[in-house]
Amino acid sequence: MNAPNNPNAKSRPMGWLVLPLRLILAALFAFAAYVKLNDPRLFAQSVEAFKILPEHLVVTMTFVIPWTEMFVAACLVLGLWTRAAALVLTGLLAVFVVGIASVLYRGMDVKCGCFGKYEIPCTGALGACHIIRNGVLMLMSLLVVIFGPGPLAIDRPSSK
Amino acid sequence: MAQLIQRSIVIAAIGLAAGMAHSAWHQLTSATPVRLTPEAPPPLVIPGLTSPSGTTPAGTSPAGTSPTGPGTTTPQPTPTASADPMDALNVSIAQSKALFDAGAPFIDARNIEEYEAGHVAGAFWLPAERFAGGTIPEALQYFDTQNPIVIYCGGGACDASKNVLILLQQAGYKGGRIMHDGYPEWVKAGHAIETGKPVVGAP
Repeated sequence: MNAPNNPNAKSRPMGWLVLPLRLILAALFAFAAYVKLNDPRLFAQSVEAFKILPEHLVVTMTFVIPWTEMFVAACLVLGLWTRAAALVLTGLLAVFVVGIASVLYRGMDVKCGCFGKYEIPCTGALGACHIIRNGVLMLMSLLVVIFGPGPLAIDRPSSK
Repeated sequence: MAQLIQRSIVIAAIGLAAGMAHSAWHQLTSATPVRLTPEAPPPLVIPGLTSPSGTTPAGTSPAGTSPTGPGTTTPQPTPTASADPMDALNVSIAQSKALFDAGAPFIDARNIEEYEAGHVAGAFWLPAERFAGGTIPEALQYFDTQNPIVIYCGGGACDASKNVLILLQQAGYKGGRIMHDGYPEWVKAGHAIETGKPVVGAP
């Protein structure tokens, strides 16, 4: 079976970059998912505020997004299908960025709802801060996609 | 690469399936399901309103009634069945003023900075976030479950009032109305405003 602590890890310095990235992303998105699922009504209002989806899809997305975040977080922590989970996360963040850009383009005043009532670190209506924040998170998850699972992972280092 | 894509699809599919399952379960079983449109309100009765004023949404004007003296009531005309359900919930600035004079509580649904910069005199600060996680906000003890409560935000395309209205209805307070034209129009009409921090339910 795969040893969780791969002896090759020490000779792969990028692996030690990936581990903190995995853990930070996992913690952040597990928290974000928990907050959204704790009171779906508020996140539904945020999803609706984008005025992109029809009503029944708004309700579906209100639950699908946090559950996807939760599974991605679990995969990142365990180092299971790590790259794939990071790729899903990158895709999710890309969707958010497009949504935010759309809102800004239409000049709308929308609250993020990403962390429920906690606004970290960008406060107030969606704006450049949120796009930058998501850009940084996308970069972090892309690094995990590129450099692989790293140490303390169920995946082998070469695993996709 | 193909394996990476396949696994990504599987992870996304698991999220999709779990989300859809939770959504169905939640909407069917929760006492407070996700609602995006408000319930129909009880008929609006504005004490002391002596003449029809402001823009009456949808429905027809009252047929020639002009009650005199304080203490009489003029029921709002019932909107026709084809009217936008939101119309029954909207109140004009003039109707809001009448409700204000009759002592109806006002709710400011905007963020704290906007509230502190200026709000309807005596308005409670109660944005949707105050209801997070099923919390019953402190301000609710000042409301009656059936009497009118006027909710406002910034006017225009602002959805915040509607969101607070839905949460209020789910908490058992059915009298919510939306001052559709928003705070800027209240100010323009020259009605009472004040500034400063919320007295009840400080952030």
